[in-house]
Amino acid sequence: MSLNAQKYELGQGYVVHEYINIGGYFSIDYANGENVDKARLDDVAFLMYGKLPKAFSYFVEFEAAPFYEKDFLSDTSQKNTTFHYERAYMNYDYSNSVNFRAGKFITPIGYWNLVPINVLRDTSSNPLFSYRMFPKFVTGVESYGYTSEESDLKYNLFIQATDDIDEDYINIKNNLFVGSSIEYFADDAFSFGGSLAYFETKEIRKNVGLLQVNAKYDWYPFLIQTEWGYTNIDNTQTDRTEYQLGGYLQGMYNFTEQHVLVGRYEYFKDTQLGELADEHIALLGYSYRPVYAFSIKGEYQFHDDKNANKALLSLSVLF
Amino acid sequence: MKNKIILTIIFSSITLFGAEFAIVADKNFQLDSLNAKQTKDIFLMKRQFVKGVKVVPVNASATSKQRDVFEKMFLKMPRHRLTKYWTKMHFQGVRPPIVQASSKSIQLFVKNVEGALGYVPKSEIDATVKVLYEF
Repeated sequence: MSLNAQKYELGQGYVVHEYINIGGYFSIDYANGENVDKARLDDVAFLMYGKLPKAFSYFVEFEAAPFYEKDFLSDTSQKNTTFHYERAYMNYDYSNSVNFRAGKFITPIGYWNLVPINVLRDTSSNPLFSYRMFPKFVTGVESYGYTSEESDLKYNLFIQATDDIDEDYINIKNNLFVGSSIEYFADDAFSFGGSLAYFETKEIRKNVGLLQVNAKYDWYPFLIQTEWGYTNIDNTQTDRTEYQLGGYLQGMYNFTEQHVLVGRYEYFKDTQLGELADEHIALLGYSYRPVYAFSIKGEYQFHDDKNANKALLSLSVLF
Repeated sequence: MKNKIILTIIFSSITLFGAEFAIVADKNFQLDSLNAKQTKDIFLMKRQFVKGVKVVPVNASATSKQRDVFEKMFLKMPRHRLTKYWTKMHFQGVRPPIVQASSKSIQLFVKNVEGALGYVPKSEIDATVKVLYEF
């Protein structure tokens, strides 16, 4: 009656012990365009997690990114071999409706932010929405679950009232972040939801309110996904109120289990950037996965500013 | 090809003669039945409790016919979609259900571990477990 009678499968981690599962991932990418010619060994990460007695579980992840980068235009290179806390938290599972998490965890907003690593994405690049609008991580506490025993409505409530556990490794430094999100699963294929959040940035003090909505229709071999957000930014230094409005609509078609065609349109407006406020990006991509955890992707991005057009290639593995 | 023929025969017999498999639990399990959605959510590790009871799903061996039928007929997810699902869950810190090699060991596990649930052919169910759902 071994609890661990499962052989290793790429992408699903290695069971060391009932309490210890280990894994990791890495990605290599290359970008080429009028203004860019760069190769990277981007994410290098290791993770460990497991269930513990008394309904507790844990998760720890360390990452270095970009691990190595070579810029062919300037003929320079850089290394970041210091591993940072990407995630470090404990869970306590009380019921389907009430569960708790404490530590540093991924901000539970939308779809993209929950699976942000290259190998789990369907394109090499991330939409601007996913990293410009809200902090990608929370260092604090969270309550989550379904609103009732058999409900199809999931919720998350979270709060951060301190600095990030590893401030060198977050897209928006902040010391207050509160929010809530919901997701309704209409059936196996269709779900939709939204989030409300508020955070205060550190270096230049900005008080930011976020409203976000998302929807997904996953009907194999098709998948359509969209997320949009609006932030109201009160800049206490300039005494001005600015805003961001952005999101994306992405469609995918699986030719076979291994071959996928992806198209995406994204829009992002940030009034803090003056003349550069508006961005429209269209993307066409192709993904090949001999097995799901091994991904080879190519894409071409079309920007308003043609000089920003570029091609991206990547190879990534989750183990 | 041979496997496809065997599966076709199994699927046909299910259609013609009714449920061939059952979700089973220990006789002392607090509930007497589950619905299809509860069962699916449990085996996809989306829910860990049923009416306040912590549950432990058990999979049949990956190469077994009952696993194949369970995934295709009940979960309605072919193996490649499940692989994608569990790869994403690995990144979230969730592993697939544990595996037992035979119907006998599944029932032994279910009998000895509180909250455990497994699926076995109805023809192989022994007197130590009770049926919660048939498919």
